[in-house]
Amino acid sequence: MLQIKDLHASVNGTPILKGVNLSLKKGEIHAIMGPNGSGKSTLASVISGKEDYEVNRGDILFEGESILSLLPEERARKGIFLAFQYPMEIPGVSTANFLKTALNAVRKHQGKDPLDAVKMLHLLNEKRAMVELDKSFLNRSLNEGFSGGEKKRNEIFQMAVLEPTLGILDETDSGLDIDALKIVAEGVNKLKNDENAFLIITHYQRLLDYIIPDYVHVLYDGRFVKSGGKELALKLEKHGYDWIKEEIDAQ
Amino acid sequence: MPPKFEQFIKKQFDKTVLPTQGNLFSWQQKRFKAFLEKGIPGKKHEEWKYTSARSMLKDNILMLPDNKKDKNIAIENNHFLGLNDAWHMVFINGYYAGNQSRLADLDAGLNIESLAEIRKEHPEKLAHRLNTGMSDDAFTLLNDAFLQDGSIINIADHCHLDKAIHLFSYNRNPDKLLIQPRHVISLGKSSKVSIVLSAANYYTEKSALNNLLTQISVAENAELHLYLIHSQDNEDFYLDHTYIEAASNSRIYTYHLTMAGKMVRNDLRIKLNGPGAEAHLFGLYALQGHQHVDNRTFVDHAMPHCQSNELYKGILNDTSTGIFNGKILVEKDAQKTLAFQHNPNILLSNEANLNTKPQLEIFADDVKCSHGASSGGIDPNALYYLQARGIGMDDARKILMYAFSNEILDKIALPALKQWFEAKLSKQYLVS
Ligand SMILES: Nc1ncnc2c1ncn2[C@@H]1O[C@H](COP(=O)(O)OP(=O)(O)O)[C@@H](O)[C@H]1O
Ligand SMILES: [Mg+2]
Repeated sequence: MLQIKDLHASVNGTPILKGVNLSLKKGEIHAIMGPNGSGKSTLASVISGKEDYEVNRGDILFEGESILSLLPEERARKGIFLAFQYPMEIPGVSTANFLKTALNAVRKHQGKDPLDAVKMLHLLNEKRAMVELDKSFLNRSLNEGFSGGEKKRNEIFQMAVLEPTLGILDETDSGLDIDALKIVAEGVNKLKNDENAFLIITHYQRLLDYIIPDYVHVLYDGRFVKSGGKELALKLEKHGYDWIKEEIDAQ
Repeated sequence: MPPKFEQFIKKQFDKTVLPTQGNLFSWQQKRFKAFLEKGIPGKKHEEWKYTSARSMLKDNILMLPDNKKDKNIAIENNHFLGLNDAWHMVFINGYYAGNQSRLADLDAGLNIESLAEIRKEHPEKLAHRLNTGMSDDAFTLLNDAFLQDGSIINIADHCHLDKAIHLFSYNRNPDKLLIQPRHVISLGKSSKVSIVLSAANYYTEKSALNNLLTQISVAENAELHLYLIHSQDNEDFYLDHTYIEAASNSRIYTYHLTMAGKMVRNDLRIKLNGPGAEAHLFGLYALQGHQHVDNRTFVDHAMPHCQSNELYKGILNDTSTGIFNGKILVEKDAQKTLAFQHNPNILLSNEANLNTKPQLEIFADDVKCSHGASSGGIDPNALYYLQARGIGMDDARKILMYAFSNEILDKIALPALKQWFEAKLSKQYLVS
């Protein structure tokens, strides 16, 4: 589904990603871990098409086609969803209107008619209940005045409504208490099926107790320096990143 | 003063004001003399740096006498701003048109009359009310000198009006008319009213010069909502002067909603003249093409324990020009003043012009004041957030502009008017 080949990317001329390779298949969950500043959010942003980042080398293929020349909205309509590490507050735009517009844009791309108002409301209510957001959130301005946990749950809510084929979660678990973490994990597990895939960026292995990854990759200084199974996450939890840094710096 | 205009205006004064004589004549004559001495401000005048007064007077200007012919026309429903349940007072070419107005079933506490009528029949009722002492700029003097027509509206003590009053000025002549409406309004103690002013020209491709003056005195504990609306895309020049005097514990809400206009100059002055008075000033200017809006506000904190809150938001596209000049004066005795002002702007084009100038003059020591202005494009991170959910760039921009405007629309306290503006704005920012 997603293939990243020798990806090099920079911001304002500063190289950040320095040769990332990844192959993610349908039905898989991959976790990406790594110290702060290693480039995890950058990788997520480059996949979703944020224009601040310049791709200097390599390619990203989604379902077999390069997406590098596509706008963020075109990637989103093809089924790529990024749950942001820091969701923006957008005063004056209600969560419901925002999601209606987004879902209908995606549906249009899929050749489907827009959902009528009744079905839309029904869908929104069903999905927001899943992440235990109160009804009132639908009419509130997008993320404005939401707590950290509410913002993260709102991201998962949006993902549940848009049903992407590739879901990327950028530290959605950071700052969540254990109950909220379970809600987020449950949301992902419910969405998960044989036709879609997830990239879970996280700092802590505790999320991976609830969302079981097929692979764990460690990003360090813009490169994957280690890959393994779920046990790698446990080792990182126990020993931190220093042993990896030492290994790399020694080379 | 441009000689041609001086000649014209003198002749008009002799023709229309001189024969009236009566109680008010000597005051009008004094004001006219002061106007002639003052002259039309030029570009060097501090207050007229960005808006050219003289360019408004370039072409041939006419003043028409009151005539019945133009008054028997149909008025498009759109001009009534969706205010189906309101009293409408209509002025055609500057003169009250009773047949077009809808003033049936007035509340007992509400009295509405035509200014021309009162000037003729009972000038003594007007004499003591005209001098606001709030400005003697040239165009105020000119309006004073002519007292063409307009309204006198009195709201009795304790009278709460459920329906709004709409004062609509409609130009129905293809010539460049000079019209000078004057509204003299007073709110009694603990009364409450919403007043909506709007204007339009039947000939949207021709220009008229509108020199409007609205003076409102608000007694103790009364509440005023005043909507000043320019929403028709036309060639008119609008000079709107609004002078409000607020007594203790009164509450003033003003809304400058400017969605179009070749040249609109809003001059709003509020004097907080009793302890506990408060003023909330909202403005939205959403401009495109070569539209030009000059917003000037002056809040005079003359007494202690008053507060003013001001929020003017602008969206400037194409080669439009937006000016915001917000002055706050805190007088020596006005301790415990709270005064806030903010003027954020979105510039959608490199050729749009923005001039924003806050002015604070504070002579009391125990006050809290702040002001700020900003300008920039649409926040790229907000745009990206919407795009990342599949919303196309154009739609995303429109949604964000609508959201920016919405903060002001949300303040509109008349549901029908709010709905009308929401529809108008969402049409402008149509999202597919
Ligand atoms: N927009 C940006 N402008 C400048 N530097 C950036 C920007 N985004 C990321 N960086 C830099 O790139 C590096 C990687 O950041 P990031 O991808 O956020 O790391 P992570 O998510 O792994 O903590 C950091 O050194 C960060 O300062
Ligand atoms: Mg990050």
